[in-house]
Amino acid sequence: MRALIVDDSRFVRGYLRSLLEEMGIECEEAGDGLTGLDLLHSGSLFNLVLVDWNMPLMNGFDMLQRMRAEGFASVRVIMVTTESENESIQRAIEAGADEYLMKPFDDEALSEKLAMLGLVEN
Amino acid sequence: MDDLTREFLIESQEGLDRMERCLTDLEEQPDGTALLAEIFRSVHTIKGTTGFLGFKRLERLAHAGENLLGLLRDGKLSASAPVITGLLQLLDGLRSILRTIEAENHEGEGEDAELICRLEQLQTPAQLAVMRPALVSTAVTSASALEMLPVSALSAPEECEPDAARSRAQANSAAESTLRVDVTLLNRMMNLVGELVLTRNQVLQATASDPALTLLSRRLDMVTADLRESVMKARMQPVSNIFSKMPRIVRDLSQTLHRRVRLQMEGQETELDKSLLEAIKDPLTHAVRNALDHGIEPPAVREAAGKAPEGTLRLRAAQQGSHVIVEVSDDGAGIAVDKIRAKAIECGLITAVRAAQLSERELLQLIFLPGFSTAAQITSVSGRGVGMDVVRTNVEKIGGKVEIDARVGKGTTLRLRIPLTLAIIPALIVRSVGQSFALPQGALSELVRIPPEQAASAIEWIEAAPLYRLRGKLLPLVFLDRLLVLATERERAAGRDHFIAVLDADGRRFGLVVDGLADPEEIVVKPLSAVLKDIGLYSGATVLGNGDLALILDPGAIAMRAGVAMSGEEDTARHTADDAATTAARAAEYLLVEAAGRQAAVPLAEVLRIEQLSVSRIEYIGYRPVLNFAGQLLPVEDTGGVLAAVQNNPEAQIVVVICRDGSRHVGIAVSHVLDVAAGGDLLDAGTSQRSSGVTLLRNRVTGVVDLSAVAQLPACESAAGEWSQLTETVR
Repeated sequence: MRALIVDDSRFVRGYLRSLLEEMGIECEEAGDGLTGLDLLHSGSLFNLVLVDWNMPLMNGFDMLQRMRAEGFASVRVIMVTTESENESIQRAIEAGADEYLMKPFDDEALSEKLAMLGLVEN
Repeated sequence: MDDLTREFLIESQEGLDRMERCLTDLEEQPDGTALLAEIFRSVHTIKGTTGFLGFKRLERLAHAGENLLGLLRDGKLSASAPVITGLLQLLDGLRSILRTIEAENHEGEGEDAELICRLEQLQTPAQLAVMRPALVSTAVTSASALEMLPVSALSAPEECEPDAARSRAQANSAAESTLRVDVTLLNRMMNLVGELVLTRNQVLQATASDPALTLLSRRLDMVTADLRESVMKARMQPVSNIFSKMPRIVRDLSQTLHRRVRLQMEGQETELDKSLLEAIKDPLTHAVRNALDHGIEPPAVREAAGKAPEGTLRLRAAQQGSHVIVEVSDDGAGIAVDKIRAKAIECGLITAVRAAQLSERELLQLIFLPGFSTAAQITSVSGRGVGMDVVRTNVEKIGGKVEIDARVGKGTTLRLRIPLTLAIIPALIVRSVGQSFALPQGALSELVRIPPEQAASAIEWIEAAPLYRLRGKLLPLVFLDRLLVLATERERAAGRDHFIAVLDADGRRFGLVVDGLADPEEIVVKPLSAVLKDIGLYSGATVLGNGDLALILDPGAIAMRAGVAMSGEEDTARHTADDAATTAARAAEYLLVEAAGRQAAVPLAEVLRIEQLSVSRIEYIGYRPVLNFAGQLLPVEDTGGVLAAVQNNPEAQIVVVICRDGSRHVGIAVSHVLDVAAGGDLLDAGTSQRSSGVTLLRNRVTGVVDLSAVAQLPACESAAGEWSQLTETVR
């Protein structure tokens, strides 16, 4: 099981990585949407992408649209958002996000979402 | 503080630095959408991440800022001057909370309501009008918010702008070119570079015989050297970091002690490895205290002695080769040697008989012994007998040296010699009974070879103490094999060479006798296990280029163990006799060399190294022979025709004497090095343009090589360019 963490905050990437690795999930990181997309195309296989909304170069929404358009249909995507981006969640789901996770979140909230996607057992 | 919080703080500070830069630019282009997006993101990220750590106060403030910035980013609000002022206040507010978290691990109690209020007001352009006092009464809610605003924000927000902008611009230029790096990461980099140096040494030895790999390995050599230097530089901090604490200490102390002191500081920009800088902080502070307490006299005493009532304390730092010299000197009372003698006997540190034998210089060194204090009164400042010994221990712990120089009535100078780095040191590899040992170059002053047939006559014995007559002076000898009990008497084969490594350690000068010398190497110092540490003769261990392990000898400990007495003879001479005369005498020592059958002399004081190398190492720029030595191109002087003689034999070995000539280094190609000899006065004969004169050495008239006459390289940069081009082509 491998996850791609796309977030421009090193803190958030480090936090997510520590939670995911605790669950036995391997992680790779990207600091913006474009790098994230490149990593997907690099041939590594990912089961899950956790993507932030507001990032430099390419934001999470654009990345989501591009990856769905470029053939990564089966990869599960969780949008990581903040409260202020509430209205954007609907748009993300329509664009192909499987779930969303509101910052701040803890390990329980994360594993709950992963369980809902059938990625881990609850 | 856990790693996550630290990461959060660093990231947030970076974000705010970015925000600050963007805000400055925003003043010039108020509708810069990219700038606004960047600023928004900085605050947004802080707001998004702070929730994870539960910093509510920070979150609220960032949230208010984010709302305002959202409007700006979406073009619903324009970045007017009051808005930018508000954002700068937001920046300051966020920074101050981050600082509190960094220092105290929590956000502190401060209230940000007024700032948040202002940020909210700024969201509605209409309400900006509220800012003008005439319209205050228009809205009750705004008015109450207004009362909480800081006065400066109300009265003249523009007024403080230019100043703030200027200081920001200055901060930016520094921030853009610097980066915060965790010290543990730097330590790790240094360790890794150490490993790389070890590997390089091994590669160099393994490929030495393979011409196909020589160029490649030499490149590895150069890159490693550069990398090592860069990493070392990254760890450097200016001495001013500790010097800057001194004015305060001196001011406070001079008040307590009723002294009048003027503090002079020089060479504050001198840089030193961070860990070493930390290590000398306490010794230096102690030395300064000592200078004020024991050195500089009270004003009345000074005046009675015909001195200015105000004493001078000088702190000086300067780099000298691979060392940094830090000096603390005062123009105070100096140290009365008689008092030291009496005190040492009184404290039972030394017997009266022994004390009578000691020279002035040796007596001065006694103040470094534990339990020694000459202060007539024990004060709260110093004089408790802990002090100079601690200074010495601390400095020696980091491979440095302490020297003291005092003249009664004139003053005292304490000199700390600190190596630039600890991790990698140049060392000479010596052999004794088949084992290799590393001898730090710092302590090594010269090497003497005694051929087997001369061993019996050259080494003299007085009682059971071996001595060697080095240029007329007796040098106590220590046999490494006997000291370490490496061999029994019988195993000591008679017919072998002896090499004497002349060492200076802790004010003791002695010769360490070994069976063989190998190449000098840059060694990486590894700490010793407790078992080996207890032996007390080694300062560390290392891996040699050939993969062997070697212990690093500690010259000071060896001298102590072998009972070598403090030598003072030469040094006393240096202190009491006229300095100029001593310097002249030193300059008149020469290295005798033979070049193509003729004897010549090189001033010994300028000789840095003697390298034996294969003639293929000599390269040519045009027709000028050059040597790439430690990444530096040296012109090689070949008046003797040594190079020409072996031109057709790339395997031939030649000797290059590397000398200092002012700020540059030059090499002199010779066939052999014969000896070191003291010469008489230079006779200005002008027989050859390459000779600065002639002198009588070993009863032969010998030409002295004039180093300054060695031609400059064509042009240093073009030469280096040519050289790298050359290597590129070959590769």
